[in-house]
Amino acid sequence: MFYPQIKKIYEYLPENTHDYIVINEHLHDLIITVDILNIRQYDYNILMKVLKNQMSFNMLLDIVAIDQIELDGVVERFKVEYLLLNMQDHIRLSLIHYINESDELYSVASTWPNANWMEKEINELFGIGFKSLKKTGLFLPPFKKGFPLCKDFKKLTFPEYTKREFIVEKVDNVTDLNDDFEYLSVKNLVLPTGGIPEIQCRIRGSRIEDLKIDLGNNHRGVEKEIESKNVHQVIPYLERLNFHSSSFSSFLWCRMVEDILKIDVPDRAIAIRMIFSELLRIIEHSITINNLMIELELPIKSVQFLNYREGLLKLIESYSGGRVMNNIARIGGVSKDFPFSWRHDCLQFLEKLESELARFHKEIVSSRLFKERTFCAKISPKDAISWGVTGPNLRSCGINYDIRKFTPYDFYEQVDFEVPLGIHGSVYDRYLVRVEEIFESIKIILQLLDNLPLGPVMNIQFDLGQMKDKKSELDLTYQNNIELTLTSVEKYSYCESPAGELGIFLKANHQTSPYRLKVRSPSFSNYQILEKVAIGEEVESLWAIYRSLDINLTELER
Amino acid sequence: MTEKMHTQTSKTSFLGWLRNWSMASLPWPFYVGSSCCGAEFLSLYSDRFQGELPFPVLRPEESDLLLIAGNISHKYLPQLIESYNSMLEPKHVILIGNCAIDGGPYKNYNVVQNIEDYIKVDFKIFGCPPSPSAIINCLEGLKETIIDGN
Repeated sequence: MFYPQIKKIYEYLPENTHDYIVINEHLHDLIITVDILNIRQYDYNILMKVLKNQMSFNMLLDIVAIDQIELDGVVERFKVEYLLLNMQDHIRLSLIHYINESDELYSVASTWPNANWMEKEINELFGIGFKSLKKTGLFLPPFKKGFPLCKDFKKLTFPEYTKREFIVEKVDNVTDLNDDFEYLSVKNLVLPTGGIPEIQCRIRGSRIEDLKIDLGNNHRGVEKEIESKNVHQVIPYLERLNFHSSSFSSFLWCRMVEDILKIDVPDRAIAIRMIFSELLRIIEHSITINNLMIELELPIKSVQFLNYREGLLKLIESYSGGRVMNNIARIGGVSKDFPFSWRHDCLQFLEKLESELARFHKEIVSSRLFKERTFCAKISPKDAISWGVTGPNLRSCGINYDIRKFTPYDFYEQVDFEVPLGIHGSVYDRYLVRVEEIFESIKIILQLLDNLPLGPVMNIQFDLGQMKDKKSELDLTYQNNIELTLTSVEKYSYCESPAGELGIFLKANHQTSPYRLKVRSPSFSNYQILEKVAIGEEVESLWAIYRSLDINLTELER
Repeated sequence: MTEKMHTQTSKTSFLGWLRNWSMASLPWPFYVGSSCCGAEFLSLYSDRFQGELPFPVLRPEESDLLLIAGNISHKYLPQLIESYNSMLEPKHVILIGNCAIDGGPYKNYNVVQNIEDYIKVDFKIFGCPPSPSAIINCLEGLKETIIDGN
């Protein structure tokens, strides 16, 4: 397919590097292995430029590191994998490096600016060095010892906290203090949604001159925790990553495990998953718009969006019993079928939502004040791609890229919907795209509810309710299904979450629990562009810009 | 009338009772909401649970009620202690959710497991996350304890 074309890459590279760069194709995935120890930095940078410009792998999705110490027949300690995306032909490529503890990698932050945080994260959690990277922490306090995601990690020790220590730490940050400048450390504790953001900015007058984002308030070590859990136990941890649209990651995980172990899922279960995905998309978009309205401090009644969310949460509550944590996803299907008259309630609510939102939207768009205050923080399409921005933020710049359309999963190929696009990439465009996406989601749900397939909602092998009746016969299969063993596999799956491309990278090694699981959070790249976009804007609109990017810090820091 | 009130409450004076009563009627909450439990706060402002919770204050120096929802990381702990120390007296603390109480499902390197070693806690609401009605019930219980003077 694309494999012959990628061989052209050798034409652009110097001849002495040809031995160190090997191209493979494995199950429709392209893999390039780079011998990092023998290649020079100059040639390595050329390779990156060629991949980005000539081969148009223009987006860096994620960098994943694996500690291979417990794997059999492996010489090198670490494997570092760069996941790249070609947005023209929708092809994904993984660029692989094998290194030992003493070796260092070359930084790619000059080609893809969003690699900055990814490299810092790997440096902090694995101890892998990067040339020309400042040794500053991303998630953990600077005085920690040990690398938590290494397999031989025991315990992280922290010193006892005193008030004095904290003050000393803060004084260090204000060394640049000048007469002209003012250093401002802002924290947003007003809206307790999606973690505690902390931003330091240098301002002149009321304009932002420089901006630095602090992370680490919400790091919970989910990836380390998951390494000791079995396939079913992973689901609640993934649900708690992004709590406004919690089922997206758990549906993705179930789809991934079902693909690996070749478990059949009934059509009705897939349709139910799609319906709840779209309901959750409406929830997250309405929360984002609500937060934006509150930060703008406009005389607009934004409690309406909270009411939409509450109505949708009520629907989820009547289905599964869970509110924010949806408790829908199961491996082999969904937890249960729709209760009596659920579909009627859902249709009634969506009808109300559509008419009310249309009226409200008309009101907002006609407000001149809203337009003036939100026509700021423009993201250019070129920046958006090279910084790895995905989802509605990317579409608001006018780039038509939606995973549901171009690499469809579930039944998205068979439903009819449009991809709303913006023009300028400003806060206003991001608001417009989100509102239009709510209408498109309603369209998808109505189509699915009209054509809901009949049949069971769970693969019969995994149906615990069925098994209780004839447990003696099925005792063996029951045990096998509880302790599912993952085959030796390395896989990256993705879906279109409300914030952007949500991905899960899995490395399994014939065990019941994953060997390494990495979540590609859309916010990880979407948040980094704030460092570029907010410069030159008013300080008052900083939080409005932040809210318009739809950033969830618990999902980002994991 | 005043004597009757005096005997009903455990306060030494009527003025003391009045102070407690007024404080209980209008707590000034300061939020630290780091994760899922913080998301349930939003529900309290929708029309379904309208008016149950006062709006938060921006600075800990102006507040007398600290609501900690969700896990506290080792990086945020010093700032939390500083916020707690700068709050107005008498101060009350409510922990919301299992993560704040004992780390919940996150028994690992970056989540504080024993927050009671650092600050004095009055109420704990268990759940992962607790429902909004549980939070409202707890706030009512807090009102009663403040009026009783405990």
